[in-house]
Amino acid sequence: MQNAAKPLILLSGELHTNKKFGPETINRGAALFECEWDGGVFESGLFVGGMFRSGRFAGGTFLGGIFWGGSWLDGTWEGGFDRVGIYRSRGDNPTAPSS
Amino acid sequence: MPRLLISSPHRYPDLARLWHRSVARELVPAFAALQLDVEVNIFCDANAEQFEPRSFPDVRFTRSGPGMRDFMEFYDATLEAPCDFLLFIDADTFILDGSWAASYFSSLDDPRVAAVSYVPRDGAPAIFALLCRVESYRALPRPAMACRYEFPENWPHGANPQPGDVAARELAKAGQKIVNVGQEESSRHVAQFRSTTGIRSSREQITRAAGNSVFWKMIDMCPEYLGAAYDNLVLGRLYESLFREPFAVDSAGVALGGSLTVDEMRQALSGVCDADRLETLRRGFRQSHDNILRLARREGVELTIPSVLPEASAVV
Repeated sequence: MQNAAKPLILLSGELHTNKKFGPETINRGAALFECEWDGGVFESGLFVGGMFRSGRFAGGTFLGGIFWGGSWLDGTWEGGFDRVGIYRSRGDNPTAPSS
Repeated sequence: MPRLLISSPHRYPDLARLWHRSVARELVPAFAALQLDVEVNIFCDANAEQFEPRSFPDVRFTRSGPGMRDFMEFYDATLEAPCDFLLFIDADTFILDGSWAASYFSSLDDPRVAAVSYVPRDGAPAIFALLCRVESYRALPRPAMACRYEFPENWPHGANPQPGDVAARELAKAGQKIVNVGQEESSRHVAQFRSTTGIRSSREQITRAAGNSVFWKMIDMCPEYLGAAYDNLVLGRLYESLFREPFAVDSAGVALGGSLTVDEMRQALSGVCDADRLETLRRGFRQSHDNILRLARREGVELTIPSVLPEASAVV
């Protein structure tokens, strides 16, 4: 039986810059600036100016980064870029076809 | 009569009042004297209910909504407004001499000229104060004006053209040009403040999404926030002098609590130990100080700006 990776839980009050977070990560309130998100669950907090490569965005605020892949489930889209680099305005859904 | 629309996106009505006051005094009469039908438009990017029409005589307001959800869509949507020429001016950019700005209008007599950029960014045309021939911009593929992230697969080393940059590139391909006023000339006629809206919205958004402590960590990490906060501080002094109301209040009504208060500025600056960083800030403050005094002179008021740098290094 394979051991599952121990989850890394990010919490409110934390600020992370220029880091990469893998599929074991769950964000519960931290602010991420210029970070790469690859596979975890973003439940709440702030994602600014980074690369959302994969995973689930289930809550929190997305501001100015690139939504490359993954699922947009819920949260506040304040603005940012889709995977072809087109700016998606406030309130948009980055995985929906562009209008 | 050809129609000129002077337009700007705003989140905060206090800054918009300063902007409008300057536009109405300097630009509207100068361009009207060229036999243009001049209209002023403010796009309320947020807080629309706080913009009281009586504080903005002769302004046409637009609000965020479908097709114009935020300031980025505002630019392209406004290209469809009924006008022949459009002058986009940033919320914290103040042209001090309307006749100087109007003197460039004749550049557009040349059909190859699509726009005049009054304030460059790194020497290139920029959207800070951009007089556009609407027909030229309407001919571009949409969205023409919005920023982009090119080569996102190369993040974080892709290219991030700012609003208007892609349009400038497309115009050049089509054989059109933008008259680009140089930095030295621009600085003599324009008082430009930077990121004054950005720090206010950042404080709101960061505090709401991640808490107040994270905002302060950001202030420690990014000295440019202090430059923007200083710009708000000096703009606040002018605003209070003209309108007898506090500027950039927070939810408790504290002046500059929506940016950084004077005490918060002093506290944050006392923690800056790096001499080079402090010197960069000091240079920026000096420029802002000069800008606000020039703007105040146009208003006919005198201002006193509080010192915020640590005593030993205070120069403004």
